[in-house]
Amino acid sequence: MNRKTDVIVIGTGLTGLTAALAASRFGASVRLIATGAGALSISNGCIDLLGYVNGTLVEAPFAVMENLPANHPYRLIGREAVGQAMDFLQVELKGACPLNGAADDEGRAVNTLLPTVAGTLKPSWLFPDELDPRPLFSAKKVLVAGIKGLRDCSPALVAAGLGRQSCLRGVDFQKTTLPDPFDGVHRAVSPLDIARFVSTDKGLGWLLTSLGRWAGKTDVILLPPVCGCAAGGTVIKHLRSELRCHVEEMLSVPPGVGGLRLRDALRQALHEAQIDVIENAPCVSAEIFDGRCDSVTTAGPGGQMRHAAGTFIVATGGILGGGVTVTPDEARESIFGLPVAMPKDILARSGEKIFDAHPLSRMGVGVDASLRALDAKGDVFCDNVFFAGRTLGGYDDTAEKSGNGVAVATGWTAARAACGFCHTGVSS
Amino acid sequence: MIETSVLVIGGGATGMGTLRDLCMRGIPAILLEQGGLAHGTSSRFHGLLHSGGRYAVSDNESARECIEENRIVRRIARQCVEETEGFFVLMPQDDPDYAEKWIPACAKAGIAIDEIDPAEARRLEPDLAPDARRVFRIPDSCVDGFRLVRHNAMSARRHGGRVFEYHEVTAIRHEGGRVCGATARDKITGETMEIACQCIVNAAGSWSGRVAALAGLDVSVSPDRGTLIVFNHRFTSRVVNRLHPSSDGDIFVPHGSITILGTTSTPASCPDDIEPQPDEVLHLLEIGEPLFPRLREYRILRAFAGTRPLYTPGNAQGRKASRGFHAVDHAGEGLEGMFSIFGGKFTTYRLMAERVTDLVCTHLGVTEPCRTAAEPMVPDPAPDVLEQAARYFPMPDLSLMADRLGDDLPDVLGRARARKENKSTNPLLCECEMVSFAEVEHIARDAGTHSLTDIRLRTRLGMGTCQGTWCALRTLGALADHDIALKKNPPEEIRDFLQERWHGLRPALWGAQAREMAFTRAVYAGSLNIDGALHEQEN
Repeated sequence: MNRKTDVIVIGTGLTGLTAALAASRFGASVRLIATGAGALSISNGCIDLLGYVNGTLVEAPFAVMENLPANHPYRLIGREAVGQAMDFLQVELKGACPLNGAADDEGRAVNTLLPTVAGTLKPSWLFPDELDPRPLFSAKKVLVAGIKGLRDCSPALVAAGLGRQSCLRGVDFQKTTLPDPFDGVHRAVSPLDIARFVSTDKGLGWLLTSLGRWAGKTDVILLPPVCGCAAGGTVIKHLRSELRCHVEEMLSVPPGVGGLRLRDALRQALHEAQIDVIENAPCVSAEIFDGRCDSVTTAGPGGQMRHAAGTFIVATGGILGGGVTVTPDEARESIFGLPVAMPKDILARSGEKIFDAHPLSRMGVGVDASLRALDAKGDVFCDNVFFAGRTLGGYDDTAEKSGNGVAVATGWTAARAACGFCHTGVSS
Repeated sequence: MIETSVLVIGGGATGMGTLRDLCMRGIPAILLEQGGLAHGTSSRFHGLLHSGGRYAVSDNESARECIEENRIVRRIARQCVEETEGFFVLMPQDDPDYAEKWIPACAKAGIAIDEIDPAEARRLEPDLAPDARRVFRIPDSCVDGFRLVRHNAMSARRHGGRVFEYHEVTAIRHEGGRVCGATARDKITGETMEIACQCIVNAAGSWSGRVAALAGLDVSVSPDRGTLIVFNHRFTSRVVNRLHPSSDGDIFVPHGSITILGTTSTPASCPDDIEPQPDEVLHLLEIGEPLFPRLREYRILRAFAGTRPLYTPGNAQGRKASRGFHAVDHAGEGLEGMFSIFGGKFTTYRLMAERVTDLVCTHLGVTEPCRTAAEPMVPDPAPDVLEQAARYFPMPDLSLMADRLGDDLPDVLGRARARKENKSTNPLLCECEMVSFAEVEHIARDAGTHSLTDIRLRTRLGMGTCQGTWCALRTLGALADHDIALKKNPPEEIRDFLQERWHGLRPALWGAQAREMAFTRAVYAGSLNIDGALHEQEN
């Protein structure tokens, strides 16, 4: 295919989708190339911006960003860009999947805590309506509902865990198990199976009937993520009005119902923006001449295909997504083969405890402020290639709770830089 | 104060086999184990039930013992053994003359071998190296060491034996040159237990030097580290050995859905020196690669290490030290009633137990013969029990579970049936190893169960391909729903459970393993904030 595109985005996680949409809004023609489903399929659809710094809970992420290490993506692109990116996402999703944030008593934007199916709370920044936790923290009575046959959500575990949280002290937790929607036919039911069922009239009827006896008798109902597959909160709003209380989903384990809703909403936006999306097309090589990338080649079901573009945004993920490949001897970025710094000694790559701050969990491609990769000497590797999301080094998304935040912030920033490059030949 | 005739120290295969033998001969006996059952070397080896082929040239007597015991264990421990058979493979880089020595040596030891065309071998094991020169079939089998120890314990209990886990012997008492008792500490409660007995059998394996020292004896047992790799695939259905003098990393053993490659041999500083090292993992891959050329593409689940209790009078080391065993009556060193069983291999555990029990019997004047080779350890469940159970238990899970549970099967089936009758579910908590809630409940309600890790060791929950990523949360949830509390709170239990696995992954943290670990962290830290919950607890 020789039709030249302004921007090619590689990767269909939150980073790639944000970058593609942003680049389109900046006026570029965009093509998105995807290998698989992207990491949103295992995500809960909330935007964690920065929940912890060195193990300390963060209340106001923007206030502490300056204290992050200099090579942290937020420091590289700057606090202002992070804020602009968050605003961008909220505006773009206003209709299809509204995202809200919490504020303290003075109206200052702050992190909020989202309940999980493990009975823990997780700090997060923006959340869709289904995950809105705000009424939970002023509730007196909370009902935790599990579903018979759904093994990954135990009301007793959640109630006991949340009952230990100081911010929920004094709350009266009640537990219930809703009847099996599939009548024992399925052996391994996931929240996604139930969410699909609840997307039907029959399924919604089942959920309402099952919860009916609690209508008006509790302040909050906590459910596993089963309130339909579509973004926008239609099902949850209906439940709230019928049951006369706040209904809220808990964060859960994959498959990520919330992440899939967000993905669908973004994919719809891409579609409406007439962005070309090519799926099942793993990127196998890149063609570089004189420090510029001309094209990338994909190997899809239809054979190899070259995609030429003015600029490229690499959003292929980290170790988990396959954007960074680790061997016993070295680590490399997967498409361009860029070396990724990693301790030579294998045991030095990780700490002794599983939740330690592992060097391996922070590693990734080193970039400049416009997200172009730097080589060992600190020179830009390729003028027109920008890196975003978990492909980048300098942060540990799981420990910091910053995965989706960095995805959106750097995806948007890479798009801005790529479009600046397209227009002027230099990045902003 | 507990009174008994014989105290056995060490809850591995040999100790438990000895307890069983003593009890079957009508001798009152108890056993103390410092950790959970088989926490030492009996659960930290490749799980090969040797045919003896490996020792045929170097130690023909050991080889003969192996093949004889191999036949016995297959008979008395059907549930613990998978009769896979094995291959001995001569590669281009191996000395062809060794094969010419090996063939008659196998015949001499009584090991039936059968040479097949390498092309036929490749048809049977398609991933095997295409350049194999010669291939021999041999009656190697795979054995679940942990289960074998447990089934021995069940049999011993049926004959009146008593087993105390997490009890560490702290003193051995003797009077006038005769053993009269021991003191043990309960590692869970910290309480002290006094035992009065006439005899003590030291079957502490790699720890037997320490136990002997408590009795003032000096014995030559050197722990020797062996590291192994567990792969996420069953890429061979047979045990595969290299046909050359014993070396590191040249045996592949399939177990269920995984394959184990081992074993290195390095002198260890102490019996607890069991952290696998990256260089050992890389070394194993390098040595294993000729037999299975795609070895590096397979995902590693974990590496682990154990220490062999090599009996080393005269300071022989590593592979040069004898793999034979020695049953010792310490009366010759001035302590009557003290016996030790040193060295040996898992395959010959029963014979070792028999020999040391013979010594004890002579001392006590008991003339009952050994019957451990004749009687199966765990009776097969009656066909009608299984038939009935099939109504409320899916069949593949049922047969796996029946083999695993032995004497515990009726209780678990009772729980499953009761759940069916009162219309509650019996969810499958671990899909890799097919462990249902009824089984977990049975184990979790046992007074000896303190943690998810204890449940893992007794059910295999979390031992399969997901390595606990899915079942940890699920199991804690199911236990919470039934008001069954473990010792620690859920975030700590999850951390400890995942931590066990982390040890085994750190030395192999690259490729698909690194990716899988990133996934586990994404779920438990990224989504569920278990790490944050632990921080907040500390503050």
